[in-house]
Amino acid sequence: MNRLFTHRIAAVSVISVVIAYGILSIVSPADSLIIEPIEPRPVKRPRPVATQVSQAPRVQVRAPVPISAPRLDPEFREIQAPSPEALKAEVEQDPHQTPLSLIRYSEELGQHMDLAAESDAYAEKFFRYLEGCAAMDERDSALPVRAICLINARKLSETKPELLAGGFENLTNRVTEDLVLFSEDIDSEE
Amino acid sequence: MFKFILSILGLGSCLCASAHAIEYHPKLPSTVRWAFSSTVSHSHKFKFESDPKKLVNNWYSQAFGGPSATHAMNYMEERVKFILPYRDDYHKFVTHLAVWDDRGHFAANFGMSIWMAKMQDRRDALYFTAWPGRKIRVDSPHVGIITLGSKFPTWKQELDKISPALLTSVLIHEARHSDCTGRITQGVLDGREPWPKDCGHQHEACPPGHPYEGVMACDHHAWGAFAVQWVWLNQVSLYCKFGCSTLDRSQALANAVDAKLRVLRSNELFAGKLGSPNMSNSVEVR
Repeated sequence: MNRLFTHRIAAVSVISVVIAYGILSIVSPADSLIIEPIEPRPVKRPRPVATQVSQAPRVQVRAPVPISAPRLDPEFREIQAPSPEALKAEVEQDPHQTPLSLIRYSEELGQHMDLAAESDAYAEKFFRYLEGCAAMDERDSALPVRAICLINARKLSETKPELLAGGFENLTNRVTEDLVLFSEDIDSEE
Repeated sequence: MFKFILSILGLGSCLCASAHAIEYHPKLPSTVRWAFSSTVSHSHKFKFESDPKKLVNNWYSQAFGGPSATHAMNYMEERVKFILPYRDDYHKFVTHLAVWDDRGHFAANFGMSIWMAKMQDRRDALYFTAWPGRKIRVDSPHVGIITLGSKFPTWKQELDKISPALLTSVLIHEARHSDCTGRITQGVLDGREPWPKDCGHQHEACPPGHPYEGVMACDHHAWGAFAVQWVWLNQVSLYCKFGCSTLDRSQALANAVDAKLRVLRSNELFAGKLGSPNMSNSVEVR
C-alpha cells in the first residue's frame, strides 16, 4: 500500500516537472528570439543593413558624398544627409525600396525632434538646423532630404507655436515652391 | 497532448495570439519569421487619431475600407499569404516574363507573376510547389506569394532596425501588386496588346529630370503600389498616437516622402484630381 502510494507521488512529481519545463520553454522569450543564420552559404549572406548605408554602393555612379549640416548650426554637424547621387545609386540597386540612408537620416532627425519637444532652447537650435537643411540649394541636396527637414520644421512649429510659428512661415517663403507643394501634400490629406 | 495541457491551463490563447494568415516557408530563418509575425501583430495595435473634419479625401479609409490599422492589415492579409526566402532561380518559373530579377530587392510579388504566366499560357489550373508538401493553386492574382530578395536582412540585430511601420509598408506595397484592377482583355492574352499597368500595378522607368531618372522605380498610373504604400505611411507618420515609437514615425516619414516621389503627378493624385483609389481585383477576361 505504502509502495503504491510512493509510486503515485513519484509519478505525479515527474508529470509536474515535465509540465513546468514545457510551460517555461513556451513562455520563455529566448525560444522565439533564437538568432538563426539564414543558410550555410556565407558568400550569399546579405551584408548588414548598416554596411549598405555607410559603404559606397556597388553601382559606382559616384561615391556617396555626405552633405555636412548647414553652417548655421555647428552643433548638428554630425548629422549627415545622403547626397542626391548616393540616393540614386541606392535606388538603382534596389528600385523597390526606400534608400536606407534616407531612413537613417530621418531616424536621426526624429531623435532630435524628441529632445526639441522637451526644451525650448533645444527646439530653437534644432529648428535653425532644419531651416538650413530645407533651404539648401536643390543641386546640393535631394528633394526627399529637404522635404523631411521641412516637414519636421512644420511639426516642431506646431508643437511650439509661440516660439516657432513665425519662423516656419518665413521658411516657407524662402524655400522653393515645388518643395512646399511636395511637402504640403505629404503632411495633409486635404 | 502538450497543447491540450496548455489549453487546460489557459495558456492556449497565448499561442493563438501570434498566429495569423501568412504562411512562412519552413526554411525561412526564425529571425525573419519572428520579424514578420511580430510586425503584423504590432501594427494591428496602432491607434490613429486624426481630426475627421480636416480630412477632405480621407484616402486611408477610401483605400483600406475603414479608419483603423486593422483595416489596412486586413487589406494586406487578403493579398499576402506566403513568404518565401530568397532563391536565385525563381526566374525559371516565370520564363514568360522578360525580366525577373529580384537579386537586389527587399521583397517582390512572385504570385502575381505566376498568375500572369498562367493567364498568358491559358492554363485552366496551375499549381506552384512552394516547398515540399505545399502546393499552391494559382487561380487568382490574390494568391499572394511574396519572395524576399537577397538584400532582406536575416540577422536579428539588423531586423530590429526595421520598425513595424516600415515592414508593414513593404507588405502593403506588395499587397497592391496582388490587385488586377484593370481587367485583362483577349487582346492581351493574344499578345496584341500590352499587359495593362494597373493589373499587377507594375512599375515603370522614372522619367527624365526625376531624381531616380531611368530606374524602374516609378508609378505612372494612378493609385499604384507606391501610392497605396504612401497612404499607410502618411497615416502612421502623422496620426499614429498610440502603439507607435519615434522609430516607427521617423521611418514612416522617410518612406512616405520617398514613396510619394515615385508617384508621378502625385500632387494631382492626392488632391483628388485623378479619382479615388480603385482597390478591386478581377480575374475575368473581357
